[in-house]
Amino acid sequence: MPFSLKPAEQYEVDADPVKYLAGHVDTGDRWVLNFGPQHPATHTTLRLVLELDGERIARCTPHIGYLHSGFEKLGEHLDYNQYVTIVSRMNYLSPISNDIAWHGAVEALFGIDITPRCKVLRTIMAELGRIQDHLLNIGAAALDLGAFTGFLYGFNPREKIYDLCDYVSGQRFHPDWTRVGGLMKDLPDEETFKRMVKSFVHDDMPQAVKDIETLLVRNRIFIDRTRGVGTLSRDDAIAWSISGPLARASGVKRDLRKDAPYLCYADNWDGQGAEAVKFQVPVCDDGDVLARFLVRCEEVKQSAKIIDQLIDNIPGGPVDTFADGKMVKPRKEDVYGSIEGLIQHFEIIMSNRGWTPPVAEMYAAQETANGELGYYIVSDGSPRAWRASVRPPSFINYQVMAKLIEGHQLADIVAVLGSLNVVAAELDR
Amino acid sequence: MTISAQTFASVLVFALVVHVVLLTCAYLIYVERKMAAYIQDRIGPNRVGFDFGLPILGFLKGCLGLGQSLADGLKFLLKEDYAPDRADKRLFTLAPVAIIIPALIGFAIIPWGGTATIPSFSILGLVHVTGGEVVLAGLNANIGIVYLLSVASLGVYGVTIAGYASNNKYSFIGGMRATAQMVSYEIPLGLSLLAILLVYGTLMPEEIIAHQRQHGWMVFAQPIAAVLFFIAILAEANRAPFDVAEAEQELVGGYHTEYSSMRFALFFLAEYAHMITSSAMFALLFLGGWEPLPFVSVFGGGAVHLGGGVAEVLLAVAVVGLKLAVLFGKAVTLVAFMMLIRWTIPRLRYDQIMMGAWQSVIPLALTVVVVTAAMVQWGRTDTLSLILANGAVFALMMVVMPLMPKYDPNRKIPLYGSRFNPMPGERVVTGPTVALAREDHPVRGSL
Amino acid sequence: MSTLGEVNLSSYLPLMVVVLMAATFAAINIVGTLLIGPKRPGKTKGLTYESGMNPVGTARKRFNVRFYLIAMVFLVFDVEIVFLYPWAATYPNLAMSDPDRVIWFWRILFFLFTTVVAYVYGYRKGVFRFD
Repeated sequence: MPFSLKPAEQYEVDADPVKYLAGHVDTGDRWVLNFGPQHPATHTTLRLVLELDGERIARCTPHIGYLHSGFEKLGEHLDYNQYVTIVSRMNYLSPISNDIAWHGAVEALFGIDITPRCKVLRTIMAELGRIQDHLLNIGAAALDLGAFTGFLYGFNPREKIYDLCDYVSGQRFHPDWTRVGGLMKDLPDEETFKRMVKSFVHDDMPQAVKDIETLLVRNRIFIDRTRGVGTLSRDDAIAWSISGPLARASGVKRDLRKDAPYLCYADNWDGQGAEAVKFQVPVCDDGDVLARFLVRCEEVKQSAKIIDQLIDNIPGGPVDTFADGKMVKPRKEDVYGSIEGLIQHFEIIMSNRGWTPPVAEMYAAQETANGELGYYIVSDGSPRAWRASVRPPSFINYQVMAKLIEGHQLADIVAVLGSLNVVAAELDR
Repeated sequence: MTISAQTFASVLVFALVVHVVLLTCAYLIYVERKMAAYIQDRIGPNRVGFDFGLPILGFLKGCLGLGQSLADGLKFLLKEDYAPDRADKRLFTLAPVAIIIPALIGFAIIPWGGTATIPSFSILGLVHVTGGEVVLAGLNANIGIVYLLSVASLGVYGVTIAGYASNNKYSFIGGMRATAQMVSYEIPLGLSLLAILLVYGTLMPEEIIAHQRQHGWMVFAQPIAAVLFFIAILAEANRAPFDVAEAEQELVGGYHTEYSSMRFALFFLAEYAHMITSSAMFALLFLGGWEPLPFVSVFGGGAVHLGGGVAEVLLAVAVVGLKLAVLFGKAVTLVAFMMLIRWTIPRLRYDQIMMGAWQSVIPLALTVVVVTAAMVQWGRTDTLSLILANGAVFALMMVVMPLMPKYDPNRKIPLYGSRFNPMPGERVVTGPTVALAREDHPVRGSL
Repeated sequence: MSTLGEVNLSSYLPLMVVVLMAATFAAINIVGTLLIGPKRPGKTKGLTYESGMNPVGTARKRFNVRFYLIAMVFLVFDVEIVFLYPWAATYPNLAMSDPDRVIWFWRILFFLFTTVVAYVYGYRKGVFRFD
């Protein structure tokens, strides 16, 4: 009975002073305060148990487990295509990035090399996902400090990304657009897609980032509230295995797009000597909340640069790999038009058939907005993964919360928590 | 029964202005929401009209969303009046009353309509009103402006009581923050007021307006005092960027976390009434009261005569109404400016607010008072001299500010029992040390 | 020129009326919701809000607000300001030739100076630092 109530005497005030740390100091004046799970500033359902000395936080104990999702277990019961609907729920700020990372890992397990067209489209959508996540976060940086306006400035262009997801996949929020060896379907109309992406990258997004930066970057209150708050040193960032913008804000120059290139971030991605996309990795040395904000702002601009390089050079050809017919669902015309296609379709769809992946273990990671999103797949040769473990960036980054906040004040929690960009669904995967 | 003309006029003006202010409060909420919406590229409330869901009133649908305030008020009335089991019920009920009374009597001292003479007359032969010159204010007491300070101080009680009575930690922290902040900013409020009262040489609002009619608005003569006064009234009204007491991101609702229905609405109403009062005060003290133009007198100084024929009385009432409209318009403009601030800049942290008060605002206000006293002693109280003096104070501030001792307010403070930020030489204990921090259910006796 | 000497309590009569009005307004509203609004108490509902968890301990504990010293210094300043108001209302109205004028000025300046000394002392002692 986890939520049953105890008898009324529970509420009686006990006059005995707390012996907090026996033999150290009597901290009877310390308060124990729940911050979350139902709190407006925790963004999602996570809980911090704070021990307060006045407004100072003496001790912070992060708790997880309020979302009861069990995503990883679901991965053992769904096949490699079906599970994509689950992974996109882990980080609902940029679902498309999760889809792409998941199928990146699956294709690494299967040993499939996807077509150049698919690579370009996935890269564009992955960068849009990064922009989507960062726009929310730099807006939330304002919201957490009480400036609601910046938050909505970040939200307006996100709507355009939803429209784009809607356009390519038919689903606004959780596109579930990728498939093993390709995509759910090709673009409905390439010119429309280009026009939508260009108008987003050149008009909506720069305007929003400019608005937020104008509102905050030179604002004395914002700087006073964020500079030096939640500072994470470079050594600590490495020791705590922090990744993504957090690590880069602490001076760790690590970005999987450069260090372990995949998709269009790698040279020769189309098999004909195409160069990798050019972009810079913003790094800041301060490691505080302000640095994370600035790094995210810059990453948004770099993502726009990447999209700019790719959008006019989308190669033709199929989006699905047909090299090994056992792995990719055939096109509908093949299913209805040829016996081979029909058989292949049955082989994949029927419950006693399906994929025959190699019996192997595979870890593959991609750089998503929050950091290194890796999937560790153990395959026993059946169409479903024996174990589909995920390395969610938020979960790893959330560890450092207590370290960042202890010694700061109550009001700084929201600033630090917002800058970590914790997504609780990733914590309780 | 015989009453004086002043008492009669005061009660009349009070009764009128209280209703005007309450109505304005309700619609300021609408204005604030609309304003926030336009700042944030939204539309804002635009659905609720006055049709009450009745088909017969269908033509009143929409109405630009003007029915929103009415609907909100009715909704509050129909909500459950809830109090937590562990709250102190009597104090819990007292708090909204304690906060609404100072908010509603605050604007008593403001002369909304200037002065007027009224003839003797009697009402139904029962009450005889002696004629004479009256100030069209809710209260014409000889303490004048000091009344403002005394009422402003009373506003603290409601917040403190609410924070304490709820027996909620967020409320308690909010109440504590509000108390410390309102108490601290009362001093710059008083000091900047002092700086301009030295120039006026009076405490009476009517004489203050007369002085500004002759010498121009005080906001030009004492800009620093005006800015400090504005900062202080923002802090007194708990408005952004000083709204730490009800900071949603930190304290959920702050001191009114546990309040619901009409008791919550009273807090809300009090905040807006407080804003109107302080803005009207600012308009009176710095922006020439009911005179619409800075250096030109439009209405003249004389008293309006409310007597004679019907046409003359109507004309006089029109003049009084215009004065009221001008003063009220200034106040509402200032309130709109406060809203603009709220939807633009982030919130300060509690300690930054307190340090701002004690380390910057109060010394600066004190300097302005001393400099103004010196100018008065020197006999130079015209606008130009005061502007120069203010410039000198500003220059002094710019010179002294970099010389003040600096330290980083955002640094971490070592604390006993901390895991990652312990006192030097402290044995660090990992894992929660209190059962409370581990358990969802507090264990009796472990507290 | 106004003076603070005369006490005319009858001018406060309207204030009494309005305090009564405001109190009645508040009372009507509160009693109104009590009468109209629903009443559905419950054990869980009666808990104080603490982010959705059962509240840990009580809020009626000692709490380090760093407020005590501020309250003391506030008293000093506030009382001082109250003393200054009568001066501010009368002193500027003295004639320039009045010999009292200089005395009034320097006395108040000395009075302010003592407060500044107290302020500087508090500053050096770290009363105004919130850490």
